[in-house]
Amino acid sequence: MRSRFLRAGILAIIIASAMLTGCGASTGTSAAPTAISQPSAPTATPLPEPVTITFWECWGGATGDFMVEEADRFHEQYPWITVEVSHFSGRGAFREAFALAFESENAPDTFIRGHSFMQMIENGWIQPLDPWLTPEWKARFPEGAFSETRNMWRGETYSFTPFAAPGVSRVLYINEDLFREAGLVDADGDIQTPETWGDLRSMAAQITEAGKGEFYGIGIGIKDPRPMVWWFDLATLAGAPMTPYDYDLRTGKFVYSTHPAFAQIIELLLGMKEDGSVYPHEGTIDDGNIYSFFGQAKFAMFMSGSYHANNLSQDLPDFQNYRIVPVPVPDEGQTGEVPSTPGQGHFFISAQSQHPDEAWLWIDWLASRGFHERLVSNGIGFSIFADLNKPESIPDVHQAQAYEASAAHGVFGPFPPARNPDTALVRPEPVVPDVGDMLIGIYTGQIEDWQQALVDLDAHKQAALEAAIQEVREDGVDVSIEDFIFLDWNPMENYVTKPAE
Amino acid sequence: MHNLWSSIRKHIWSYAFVMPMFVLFLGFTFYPLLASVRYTFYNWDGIGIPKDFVGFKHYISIAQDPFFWNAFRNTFVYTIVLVPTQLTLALGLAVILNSNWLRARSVFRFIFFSPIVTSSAVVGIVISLAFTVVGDDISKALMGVGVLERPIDWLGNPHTALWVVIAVGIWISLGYPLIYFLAALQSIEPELYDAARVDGAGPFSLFWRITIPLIRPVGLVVLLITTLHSLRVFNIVQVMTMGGPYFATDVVGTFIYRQAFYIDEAGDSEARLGYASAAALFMGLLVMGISLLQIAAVRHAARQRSENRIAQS
Repeated sequence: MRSRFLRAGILAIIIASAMLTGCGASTGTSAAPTAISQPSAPTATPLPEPVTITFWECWGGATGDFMVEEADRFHEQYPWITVEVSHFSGRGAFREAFALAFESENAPDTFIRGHSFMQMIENGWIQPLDPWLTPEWKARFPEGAFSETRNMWRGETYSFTPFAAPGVSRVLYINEDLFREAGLVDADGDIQTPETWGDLRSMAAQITEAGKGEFYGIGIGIKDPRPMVWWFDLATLAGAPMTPYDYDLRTGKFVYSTHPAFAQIIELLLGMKEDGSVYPHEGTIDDGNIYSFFGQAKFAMFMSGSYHANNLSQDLPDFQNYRIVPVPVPDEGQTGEVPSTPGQGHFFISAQSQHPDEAWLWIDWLASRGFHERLVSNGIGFSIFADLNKPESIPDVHQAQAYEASAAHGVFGPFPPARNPDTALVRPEPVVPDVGDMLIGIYTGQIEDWQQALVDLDAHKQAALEAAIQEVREDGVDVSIEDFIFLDWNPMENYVTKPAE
Repeated sequence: MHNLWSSIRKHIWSYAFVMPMFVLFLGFTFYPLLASVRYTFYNWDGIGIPKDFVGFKHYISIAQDPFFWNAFRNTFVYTIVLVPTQLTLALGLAVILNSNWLRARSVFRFIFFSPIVTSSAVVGIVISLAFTVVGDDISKALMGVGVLERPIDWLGNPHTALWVVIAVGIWISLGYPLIYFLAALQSIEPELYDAARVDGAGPFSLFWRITIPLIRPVGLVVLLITTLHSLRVFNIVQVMTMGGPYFATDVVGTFIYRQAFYIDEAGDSEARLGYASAAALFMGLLVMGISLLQIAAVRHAARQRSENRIAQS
């Protein structure tokens, strides 16, 4: 009897072990980095001893190729320094390899940001640039390029913001042919684009009616909850708060259930769905593939980041009859801009680098106007140096439109860590369901009482924020809810957060 | 002890051939399993050494987490539907593929086995995209006869998404039990069937009284493997629906993945490997408990049958 029970127990343990190893098994693949180095032959003149520094990035594609070309140009300028560029297939693979590299003391010399800036600071992965920086070097950047907890910590500078800021991450893509087919053309023969939320719904319905099942007004993806959050970002145009500081910065309170704009956005989404205006494959669409459906004329509009202009250009070069416009504003009129936090640092020197002086030269190259001119002219991105982002400098007309559309509503909002850097240590526990999940649940009808869901969301997020503040205070850090409140903030204007006196 | 050592020496080459796999098992399965048990007692983001000890907090949180239980329920629905359906289909197909009257049997075997050798992630992506075409045609046909008012979003509708995932799961791993059953059928002596036909047995009797009893040992192994495999479902769910819409297809695998590699809405990593490890271990303990109950129930039923037979005789 006892041996039978023992055998049964062993069998059950084996079953459970198989289950656990299955659950714990690696579920992703990490691509091995592809080291690409294209050194040029050293010149005949006496040079310092040759040095190779490594640079890790996970952009890939055209951006990855661009960085390799820049490494070659850098080598021509500094013939004794070779920059070995390593590509990673995605941010996940990059993060995994990055952490392991530091554990094993094989970290790259320079790299792009894969983890948050504060994680890199707390783990001692990066070193400040102050030994090489001069006031003149920093002065070339616009106001807001350097900020505590974004690229500075305790007064030391670790990186710079290379990309244009402030900017609205979301823009609206318009298929001009489908708009014309639906009759959405003004007296001058140009297409009419949605200016307000009401326009968005009515135009989507008109286009769907014209499509007769062959195409629809708008594409929305509910496969990944993160892009769904962007719909709530529209509420900022009505003066509501947005991620990552998604509480009212004037009161320190979460207002999903009390600010009317969020209810209006939900009604907009449900209204478009009820109208039948949404391409009926929302569950298949995510931000990675939405542009391909758009390029196949499945729907006439979608909202996403400006980066899809590059994707459309690369993958669907023959599809040109589209336009990128700013996101629509509330029907009652715009009472807020889209606030963004100061730009983050992107290029860093490793704390383990054996060649910090050479690494600095590479970082300096990445901050040079020449690099930024080529960044823009190659259609890679928009520079922190705003004067370089002229339409005539941007090769692709759609990327130029994307820049203008993303700049239309962007302002800097209050940034608590700039006033009190210790607020960056406040990390509320994730709330489940969070905004994106909840919006999907409301959209599919799985959450029927969405008004109550918004009330619950406010309560959970408030509790998480207050608990996080309390936890940090128990560690002796001087932080309170007052650090997150900016009574003088005007949602329509740029806000420069000054350090606490 | 002397007997054990002499037995090992007698079969030394068997142990020698098993040893490399055993060492790999210890290093890449057993040790990570033990290590993950330790992580369950910490808040840990996967970087450096776990420092923030939280005791049993994660286990208590998981036991009270309605999303974990939702994933647990979906996993068992997936398993309870998939296993009998797949095994029935596999056995039926194996009987047909083992038939002498079927021409081009090797071609059909290749067709049914080929999904196994394809990447389930790639299959998931292709099928989810194919639904935008095939799904459209099905919706239009149903709308044409008045069954539907508007097209169905098969993967975005909480009432259909899980069944689509189950159907894909049945298809993609059908080859495994099929091959096992085929091998078992081919090991049955044909003379047994000849003798039974001489005694007047029909096709159903041949299947029920000869085929089933003789392939039962293999069937039990296939049942166990298929059940374990389906409880660990992850790839096709993650690529087809990411556990959505709104957790309607969330399984324990995707729940654990989301906790382990959590990306916040700002795009920064907030990995909770300690919590994810606790969820995995919790699931394992639950499955172990259920397995023990099953084993006890099966043994009890067998004992009852045996006692009834003795009583009748």
